[in-house]
Amino acid sequence: MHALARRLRGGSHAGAFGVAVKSRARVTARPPFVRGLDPRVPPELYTAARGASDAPHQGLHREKEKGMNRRDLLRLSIIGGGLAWTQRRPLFAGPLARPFDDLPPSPTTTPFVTPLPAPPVLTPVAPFAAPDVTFPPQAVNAPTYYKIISEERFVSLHPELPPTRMWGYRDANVANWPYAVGPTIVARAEHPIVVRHENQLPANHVGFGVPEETVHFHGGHMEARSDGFPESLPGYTTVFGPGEHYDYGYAMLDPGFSHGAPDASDRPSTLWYHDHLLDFTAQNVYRGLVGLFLFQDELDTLDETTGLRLPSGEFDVPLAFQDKRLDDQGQLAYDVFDHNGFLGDKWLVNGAIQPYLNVKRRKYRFRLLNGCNARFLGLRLVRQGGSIEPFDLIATEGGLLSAPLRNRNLAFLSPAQREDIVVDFARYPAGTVLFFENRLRQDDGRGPSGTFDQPELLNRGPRFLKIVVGADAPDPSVVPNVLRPFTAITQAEINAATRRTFEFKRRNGVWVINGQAVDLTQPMATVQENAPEIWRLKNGSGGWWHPIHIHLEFMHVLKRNGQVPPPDERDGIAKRDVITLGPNDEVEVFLKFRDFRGRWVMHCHTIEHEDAFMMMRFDVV
Amino acid sequence: MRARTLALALCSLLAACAASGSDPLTRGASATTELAVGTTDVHALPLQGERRRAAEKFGDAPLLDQAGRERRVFSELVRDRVVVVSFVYTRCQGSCPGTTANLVRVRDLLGERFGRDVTFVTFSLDPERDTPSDFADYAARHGITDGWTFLTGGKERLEELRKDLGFYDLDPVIDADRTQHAATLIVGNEPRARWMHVPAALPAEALVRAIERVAK
Ligand SMILES: [Cu+2]
Repeated sequence: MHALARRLRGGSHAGAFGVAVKSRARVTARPPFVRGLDPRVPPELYTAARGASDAPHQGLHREKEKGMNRRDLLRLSIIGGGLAWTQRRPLFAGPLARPFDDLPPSPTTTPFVTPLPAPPVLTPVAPFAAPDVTFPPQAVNAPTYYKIISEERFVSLHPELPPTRMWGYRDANVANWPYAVGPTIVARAEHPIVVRHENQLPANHVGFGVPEETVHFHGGHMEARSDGFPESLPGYTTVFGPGEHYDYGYAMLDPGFSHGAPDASDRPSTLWYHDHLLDFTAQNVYRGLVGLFLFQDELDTLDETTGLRLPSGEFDVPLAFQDKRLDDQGQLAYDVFDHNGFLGDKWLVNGAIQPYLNVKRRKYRFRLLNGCNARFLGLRLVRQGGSIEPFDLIATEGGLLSAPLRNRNLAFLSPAQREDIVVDFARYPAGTVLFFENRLRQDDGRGPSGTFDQPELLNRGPRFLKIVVGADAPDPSVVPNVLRPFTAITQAEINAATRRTFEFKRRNGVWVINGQAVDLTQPMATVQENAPEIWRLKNGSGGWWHPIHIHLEFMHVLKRNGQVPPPDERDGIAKRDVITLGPNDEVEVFLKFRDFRGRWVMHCHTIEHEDAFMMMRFDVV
Repeated sequence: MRARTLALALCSLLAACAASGSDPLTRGASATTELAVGTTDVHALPLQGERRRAAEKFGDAPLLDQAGRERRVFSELVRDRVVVVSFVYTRCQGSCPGTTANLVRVRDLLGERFGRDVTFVTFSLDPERDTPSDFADYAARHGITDGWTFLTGGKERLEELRKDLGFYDLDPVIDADRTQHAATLIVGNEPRARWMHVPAALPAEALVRAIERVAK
């Protein structure tokens, strides 16, 4: 509709001051599009047939679940009764009622015909000289070396679509990487790794995305030069272009190691790595520069017969959720002029559109990553027929929880957030079908409808993944009552902390932190190494949500809007590296930047907001 | 029929150009657009994919420049160029004078690259009042001569451009308030289909760096 209206503009033959006259013929006629094979796609790659039926459940259904607060929503509880839902985003009248990103809808595809991709684990290479990497003396184990190549490649996102031109990471040991998502890095506590990233992106690329890179290890605790600082500064080069490479060193030491107090309770679980190029992170990440990173130690052994005995191996499944939009050639569509936040209409898991997964009748660990640019997710595990099924939450961005939060029924994931959950499929007879369904209502880049406490959840939503329960299987795994306990920040530390306030706001069409658009040439805050800090993160922008990511250390959430935070972010239970700021939210977090000095950033992880300047540099000195 | 042949010819010409990897900053910004002569329909242009998408955003329905000449926006002022796009209105007491003054500094820093490798296009936010001669005066006041086109024209056309190019606010109250208008610039490299926004108030040196980054 809107797209057609837009094309009319080209067909208008009116003079400069008289635009009202438009060629009538164009109103009905399809614009003279140059059709046929997309020259960007090699013809031999066109193998798949096009066109497919619409799935009846693909669209968003606007029915809402009955009124519940967040705590109710998160607890497994009986749905029904209760207060009427009154909080709705007003619908705009007039010209602003339309969405301005005018991308036409993606071609339809048959859901659940392709298996869930499992991008392989990155394999080591022979050690190489990496003179730029410095490991601290406490890193006593010999590093393992890896090479990742970033490249343009054509990936089948769905068998009914032509291959899609993407950028992505690939294991240098593997010649052909048919995945949209890069290799999964698995690293062990106290075992440092060196990753060489080789930029083989096309220097003469035409389209959104800039073929320069700086790779951020999201959730990592490492030297500053290996963090993926978004911009090269004089004397400090972090960005590398086509034909160049950059060596990253991840020490994998416990935070506090340099002060004789390594904290083994402060270890991560599910992390990821992605491009972080200044002004172009949204475009580059959307093009595909994304991979997962899993952490392993003597508790979380990735072996269900040892340590905590969490479901492991083939029963430990990372799920990267992303939304994308495709043009009529199956190519990625992206509106480079829209900075509110990109929303797609194709639902991808691990780089495939609406895949399926066959499971055994036993426990599975799913590592959920919201890899969307701007879409928040309210994921429910839904049984065919509609019942909402329970799972145990065992980890957030900041690693395993002190203790599992059992019988949850909603994974609320802001962009870049992760949650590890365990689902026991032994509850279901063979043949049972379940779906991961996004129930959160979100109409534009501002964020979901409702508030953090009361997000607006719909009765149905797009289904990302279909799960089919199969045969029985032995299950030695458990979800123990104690996972990785850690102590909450003490009052003494709170009293000793330096307090800072950061307000996130929209002003004159850009997003600012404390009134300033990003300027990486100078720090907005300078913090002392190993000194306690309390940062008050405040959302001052009417109606906009901002998921705030702080590099280098996990956050202990002390207060949300003056209250005790919900368990999945409460200090003593969970840690976070992305804090969701709903409209007017104010969240107090405790941080201690323990080991690595240098330049770091804090930013909104709605990536279009980040690129539209909602980022600041802080220095640890 | 003839147009189609011409389209194919230009298509291969462009392909050769892209393949040679020539730098749009050094390539003449005066690249001709014979094909589009006599038409205001960007769909007749042999552009694919993302370049086409940008072409549709700018469109070719004409606007008037500060000399009162009709200009086809995409074909004449954007296509094959590195451009810096801004929105101002001549009676603005808010951010526009600063934006324009900053762009003048950027122009000076760009030196001889300005006009040759990088051009500026400024659209009116108040087309009902801004006339070409208002913009001629405005340009003169700011010491602006060649390489910088100020465009005004039909209100609908300019409103649509403003929205299509991302210079709007989802909040209709803020959007309707001209004093809160977006103080940003678009920096674009049309042949690369590479576009970004920058805050207009960035130091001129930082804006030049952004232009250089986009122009690569
Ligand atoms: Cu944001």
